[in-house]
Amino acid sequence: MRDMANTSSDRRNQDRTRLLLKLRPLIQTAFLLLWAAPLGWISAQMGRWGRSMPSCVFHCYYAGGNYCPAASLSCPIGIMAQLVALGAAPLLAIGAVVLAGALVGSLVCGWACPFGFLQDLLAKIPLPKLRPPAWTSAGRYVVLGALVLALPYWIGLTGKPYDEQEITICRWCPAGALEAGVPLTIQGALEGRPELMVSPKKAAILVAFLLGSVFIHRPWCRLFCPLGGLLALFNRFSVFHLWFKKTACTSCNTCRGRCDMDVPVDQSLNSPRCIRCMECTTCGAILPAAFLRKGGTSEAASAGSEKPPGA
Amino acid sequence: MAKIRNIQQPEIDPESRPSEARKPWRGILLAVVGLALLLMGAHASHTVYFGGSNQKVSQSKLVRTVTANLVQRPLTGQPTTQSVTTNLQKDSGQADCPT
Repeated sequence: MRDMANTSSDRRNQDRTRLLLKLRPLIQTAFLLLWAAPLGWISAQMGRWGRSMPSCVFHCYYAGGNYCPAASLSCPIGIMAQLVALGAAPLLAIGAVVLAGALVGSLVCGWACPFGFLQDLLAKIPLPKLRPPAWTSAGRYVVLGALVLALPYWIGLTGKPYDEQEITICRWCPAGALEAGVPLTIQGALEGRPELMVSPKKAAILVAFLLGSVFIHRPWCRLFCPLGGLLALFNRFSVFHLWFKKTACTSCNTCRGRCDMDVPVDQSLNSPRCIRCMECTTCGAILPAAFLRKGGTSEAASAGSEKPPGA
Repeated sequence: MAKIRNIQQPEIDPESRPSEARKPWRGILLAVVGLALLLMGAHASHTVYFGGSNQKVSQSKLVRTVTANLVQRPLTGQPTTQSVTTNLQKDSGQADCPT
């Protein structure tokens, strides 16, 4: 009787997660429209509050060689690097990252990042995909440590302001080129100011990563994105998390087969390499959860009281 | 839906999967710490250095102030705040802020 109840609840869970996964492209598109606010439309519609939110840097702190200091919403990595270069503590940016990470971990990467979404779309082109080894994901922390923290701080000590520093994440970031430089260029052209708001170097890096996305799934996120790396550190502690339900597992291997980021799903479900696209939940044995799971039991406790189907 | 990749992988043994039992208070505690940092940062970002003294300003006033180039860099040794951390000098040919 209990097995039957388990089976029907497993099926319900499976249906629910499959429906959620079908909605994922729509949710990513919705976030893309939200981040596309640099085109100015949203802020123009929001009256006084909107005008207080400079649309030019709604997402990227650095576009066209200029910084907007009054940005309410901008890339926390850019803010961190900028403030570190001045020897100031980037409390706002760190607070935003810690809060988002503690609540949802890297769910932001899989469901809200527009650059990740574009890489997802390009990865659908049916060409053979390369699979970089797991250790390459440490590149994200090298970028974070070197380009966001160490170099800006070190060069900043010499008195050189961040916007004059040559080697910074903001000058190289392809996500910033896509989400701020390109929209600003389009906006300028529409307003009769044809001016390229992306440096040739940054544009070339963007093109390289877009081409790379055809052959490696999410190369930027996987290898270099410092923000994704930071958020992923919280995967093991975040309120939202994934958990494995032993009784629902039929050893079908679907979870590992569907993971585009090559996370060892069977060994480390909430790995820092996971972007929480939740494709692995398709099989129904891996479930998304927040706070306590339904039934209030921990995985360890439930494993002792339930038997896997067919056992 | 993406197709399942045909990769040779060892059989999954559900019993051997590591338990990832959680302590939800850790996430909540981290979220509280993040919120506190966020509020402290927001407070700092709205404190602007006007020739000699730090003043607290609203977001809309901050935008007007910055776009009018009234914010000054703090003197060496003074605490920097987020709103004075920028390149405030406009080039002559540079376009205005879209807002």
